Amino acid sequence: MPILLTQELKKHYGKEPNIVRALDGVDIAVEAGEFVAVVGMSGSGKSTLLHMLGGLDKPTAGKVIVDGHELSKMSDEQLTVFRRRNVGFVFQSYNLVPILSVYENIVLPVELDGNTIDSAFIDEIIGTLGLGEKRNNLPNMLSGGQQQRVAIARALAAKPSILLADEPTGNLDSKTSQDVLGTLKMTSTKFHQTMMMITHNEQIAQLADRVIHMEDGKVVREGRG
Amino acid sequence: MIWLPYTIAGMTILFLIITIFCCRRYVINTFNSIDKVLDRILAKDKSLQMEIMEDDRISKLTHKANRIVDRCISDIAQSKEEKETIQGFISDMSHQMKTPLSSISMYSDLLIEDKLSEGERQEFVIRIKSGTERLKWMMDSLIKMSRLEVGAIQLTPVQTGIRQTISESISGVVALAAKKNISITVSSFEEVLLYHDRKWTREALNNILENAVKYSIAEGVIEVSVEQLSLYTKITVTDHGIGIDKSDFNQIFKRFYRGRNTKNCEGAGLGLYLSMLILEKQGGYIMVDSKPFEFTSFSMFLQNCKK
Amino acid sequence: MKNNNGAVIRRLTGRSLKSNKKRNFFIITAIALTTLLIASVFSIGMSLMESLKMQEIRLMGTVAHAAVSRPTAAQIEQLNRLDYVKTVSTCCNVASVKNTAQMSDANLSLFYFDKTEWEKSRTPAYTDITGSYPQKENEIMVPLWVLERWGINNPAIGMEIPLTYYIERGNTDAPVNTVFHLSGWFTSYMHIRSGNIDSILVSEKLAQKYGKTVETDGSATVIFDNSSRVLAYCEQLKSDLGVAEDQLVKPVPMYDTDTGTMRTNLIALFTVIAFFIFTGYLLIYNVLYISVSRDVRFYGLLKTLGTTPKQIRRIVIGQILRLCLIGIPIGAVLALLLSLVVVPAFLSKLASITTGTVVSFSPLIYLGAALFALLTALLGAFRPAKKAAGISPVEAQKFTGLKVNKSRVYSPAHGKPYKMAFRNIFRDRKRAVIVFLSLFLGVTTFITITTLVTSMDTDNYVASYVESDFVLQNNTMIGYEGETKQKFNDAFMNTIKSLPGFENLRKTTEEWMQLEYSKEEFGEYLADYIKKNDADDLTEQDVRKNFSGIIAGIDREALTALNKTAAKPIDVDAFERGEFALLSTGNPSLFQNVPELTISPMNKNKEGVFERSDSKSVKIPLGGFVPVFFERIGYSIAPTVFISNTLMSKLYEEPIIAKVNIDVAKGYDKQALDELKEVMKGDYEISRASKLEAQEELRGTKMMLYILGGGVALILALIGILNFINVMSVGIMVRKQELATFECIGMSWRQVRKMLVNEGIGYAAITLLLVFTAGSAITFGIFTLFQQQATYAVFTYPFIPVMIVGLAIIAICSITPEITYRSIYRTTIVERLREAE
Repeated sequence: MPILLTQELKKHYGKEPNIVRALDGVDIAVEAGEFVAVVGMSGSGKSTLLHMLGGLDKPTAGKVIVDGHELSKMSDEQLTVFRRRNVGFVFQSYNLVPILSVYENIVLPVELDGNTIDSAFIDEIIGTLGLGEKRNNLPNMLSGGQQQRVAIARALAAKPSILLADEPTGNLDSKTSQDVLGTLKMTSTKFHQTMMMITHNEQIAQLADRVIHMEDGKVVREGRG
Repeated sequence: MIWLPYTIAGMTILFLIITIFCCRRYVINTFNSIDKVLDRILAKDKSLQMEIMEDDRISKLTHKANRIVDRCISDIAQSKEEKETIQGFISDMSHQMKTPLSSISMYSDLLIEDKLSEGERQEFVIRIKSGTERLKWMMDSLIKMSRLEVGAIQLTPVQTGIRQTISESISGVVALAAKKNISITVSSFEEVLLYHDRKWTREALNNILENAVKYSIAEGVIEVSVEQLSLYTKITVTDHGIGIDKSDFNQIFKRFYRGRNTKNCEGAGLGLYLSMLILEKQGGYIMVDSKPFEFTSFSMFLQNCKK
Repeated sequence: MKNNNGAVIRRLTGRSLKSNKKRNFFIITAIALTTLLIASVFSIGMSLMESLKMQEIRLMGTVAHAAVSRPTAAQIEQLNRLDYVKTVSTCCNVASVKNTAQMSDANLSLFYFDKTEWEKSRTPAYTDITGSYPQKENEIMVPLWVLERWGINNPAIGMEIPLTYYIERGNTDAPVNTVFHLSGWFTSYMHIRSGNIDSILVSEKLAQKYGKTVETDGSATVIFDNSSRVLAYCEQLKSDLGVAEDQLVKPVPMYDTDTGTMRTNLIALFTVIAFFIFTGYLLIYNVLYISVSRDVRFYGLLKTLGTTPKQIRRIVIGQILRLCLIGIPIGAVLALLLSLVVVPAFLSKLASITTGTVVSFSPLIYLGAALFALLTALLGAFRPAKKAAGISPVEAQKFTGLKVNKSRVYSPAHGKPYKMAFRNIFRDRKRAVIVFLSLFLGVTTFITITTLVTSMDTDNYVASYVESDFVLQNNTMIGYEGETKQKFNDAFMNTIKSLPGFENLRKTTEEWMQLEYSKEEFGEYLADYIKKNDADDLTEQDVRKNFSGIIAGIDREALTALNKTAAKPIDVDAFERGEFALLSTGNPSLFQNVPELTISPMNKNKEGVFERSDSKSVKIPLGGFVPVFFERIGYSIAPTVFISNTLMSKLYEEPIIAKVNIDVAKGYDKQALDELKEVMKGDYEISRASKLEAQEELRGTKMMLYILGGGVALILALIGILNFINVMSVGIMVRKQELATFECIGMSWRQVRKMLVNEGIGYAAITLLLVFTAGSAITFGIFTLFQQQATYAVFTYPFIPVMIVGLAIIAICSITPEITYRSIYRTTIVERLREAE
């Protein structure tokens, strides 16, 4: 059974005649452990798709089924708890909590669910991502690449089964992008996570097992490469 | 007023009884819930319960139980997959070995007929020899690969300088390059300590360099450069051969895949796959970029030493 | 079982607090001010109520609830057994003291209290008790005011005091003279209420000497277990004791009536507190709401990462609770200081409290204030918390911190700063309304309180009660036991006329007279009189023989004030000519059958007994009515008759002048007062009231009213202004990027500044407009209500304070945007443009 599944997923904004069809009938299925890249121009609806899969937004029509649970049937409260236990996010704009230190940001999802921190594991992530020295700094003292690495560490800290990344390298220079991408790929393989990554860069998409091409809210091509 | 102390005592006792009763009920309920969760783990039953989405302890417990079941299922699936991989290997191997074997057997048959001139005989012997060599090379690769993939060989990455690894790899292909009159240039770089297994990394780099030589036109140039990033060090090998189509980027690292325009070049489609496997085992990765008939560059990313 | 994730929520709460220092300042200030306001109101209100209660107890002279007259020993025993009776004690009347001229109208008795009575019932109602209760037969304990009347200003224990007193009831026996030794003294307040009736305390031995016992001349006083059921218990006592016909069970007058005023006071108190809570709420709500709106990204992010709506609510509420932890103690400490310093000063200056003050210092006040402030804060935090919890993660991603009204179409602003400013004010309509409401309430309250305080000017108060600059009273008049003297003789009158700045005087004369009684004419009046005065034993026969009363002569000026408010004015000239007489009554309809009065003057004969001289009887038409106690003249059985002084001198040879009202020219008050003091020195038979002295006495109260009222009003205005400052500065900070964009497209620094300052002035202008229209109406309405209570109040619009506050608001409204803008202008445009991301 696919871990991520959408059926006739639609998301419309506004009303006729100014309606915007961000998603217009999307059916995708992602198997557990798969690394899927979603490629498309800006405005093709790829971000909206990601938001839907993460339960950040409610669909206009259709179903989103994650690990067997239909998201639209959940309350706001349940959705949030579901998210913190199963989904890790990495955004283009890092989205770190500005008032928490690097370490606190990373362990936040673990602490939010009241779990004891597996410090060996967290130390390993921090080490792998080269954040050891910045551990106690506040996010605003870090460079973009470092901040994105913190965001990745945060997404991994709670060992979620699903990792959703929205243009994780969009704000980074090419050198740093390669760094960050490698990390993402490496860690997700290491922890057997299902990953869905949005990008408009075909070169980045080569790291994925499968690439989904989107245009105008629809899936136009799907397959290996 | 005499009854007052009795009332207070009575109320206290009543209160205590109610408290004890409630506590008992609570503990029993909790144990029952834990019991149910454990039963489900035993039955590998991941029933779709909404209760894994509440912000409380039982829900958390259930969620973790589900994860354990998931892990079990995926472990089983993984070992099944590994089994299939090995089976795939065997069939792939037998298939790939058919060609050289059949040519060896054909030339041996011809030799046995004994009606051949010395020149012909000489040629057939050479052909048989090359077939055997190819078979041997293939066997070596396959063994390496299968051991790597199945995990029979453990890479032991240590902090060592990369300069020696690169020069050893290059010296492995210098002879081959000289044949096509290809020059290999290495742009100057500072020696860095990288976290890698020298023997296997040499193997990976060697494969990439061999590919570069193979697909380069004669008299061409192959450039090797080293660039240090904050987490990784990138070793890039660039040639100016036929190149790879963008749509193939995702495929070339697959086992036994051979490019569409590589018909007239020898190869088994194992080199890149092996290189990728070696790098992944060391926490690195490979990326490719190319423009057909202009350039092809393979970048190996190796982890810097942890500070 | 709850999830064990409290720690991270607490950490987020703490960090969020740390990163919002400016907002915290506003909220802490709001909480502290609210606590302060509520605590002071509680404190002042409760102190006032307690003081009033204490005052009542002291005026009663006892804390006892009821008395049973002439109880038998068996009844006392029975009383001791009743479970609803807490304390039983006895006292008895020993003798009545003969009055001297010095004592004026005082009515003193010698009383014996038993030990319980003295310790449990009386001591709490007296103050400054010095010495001990009389033990020996010749010892007495005297109230201080009596000692003063006797001319003893420095009493000493053991000093000799001669007294003349009657032992029999009705003073029919020969008076006894005894020299007593003073065993102690105390301040009693009872005489203030009872018209100078008080007791001098004597020993048990003296009572025994004259054979006075509780059963014959005393009463048993009781304290019940519940002061709110006194009247019911009294009824129960009657049946439980089986009281005889001639025995009375009398509640102490304080418990005669129910506590309606108390309820009104409580309602008023809670209205005021509700108002304070509302103003505090407006500020806290607005500051928090704005802060949450600014932090939409933060809360949205937390939610994305898996912070549940409940947890987010806990973060917001947790912040406000921690701020309360700082704000409430600050407010409470300020309130404590206030109640230690200001409240006692206020109460001691409040003229109506004559019996000393009680400062309410109960920790309950602070607990209550803290609770109310907490309530305010939680109310204020509730909606912002809900908003924060409801933020959608996706919206948060798109959030820029700005809100634009979608539903409106604007006419082009053509880049005019004032038009853009106006648009900015109403950008978030809800927020604009809250700021206006907050500012408006603050300023209007300020104006209302200032109006009330200035209107309640104590000079007005004095003027309404003291009709002339000086009023001199003859103390030897009716009610006085000694000989009535013409204290204001010609010589005295001449002295008065030669006072510096003397302008005019009018006199009130007072004599006894008898009215001709007939049932047709006065029957209704008599029935009413009997009912009101409990004079059941008064027979028609008695009345016919002796329908006597007071007749007073007044000058025409006395009627002018009355005519101003009367529906049917009295013809002053005809009155002056002696064409008619006036009757003093509260109910003119009782006299509808009385066309004219037949008045017979009464004079003292040689034995000192009043005798009616029928030969001088006159018939005079009844020409109108004046209120009871007009010109402060009491009444007897017959209604008091007012005629002109001219007519008075025709009826009596030399009518006794009871009262002289003197007016002096402006500016001469002080001189005249000094001279009058000199003239009256040592003469206890004349008493004096003067405007100047009364005003002097009330000056402190006036200041206190200004300070307290003004203080409360200023704090409220401050809350409104804080709200504005917060909205304005946050508004500019949020628009940082937008303003930078303006600069990018060519708006000069000066133009941007002008736009922002215009915005601030816009707030000020709209607020002030509201204040002057609706606010003035509210102020006037509240004043009208207030005037019904305090009739002497005169509407005075406080122009100067209003102008100062108005200018201050305009100043603050224009300076705040300027300062905020300057603070962000320090960074470069590029930095500001980039900052929002």
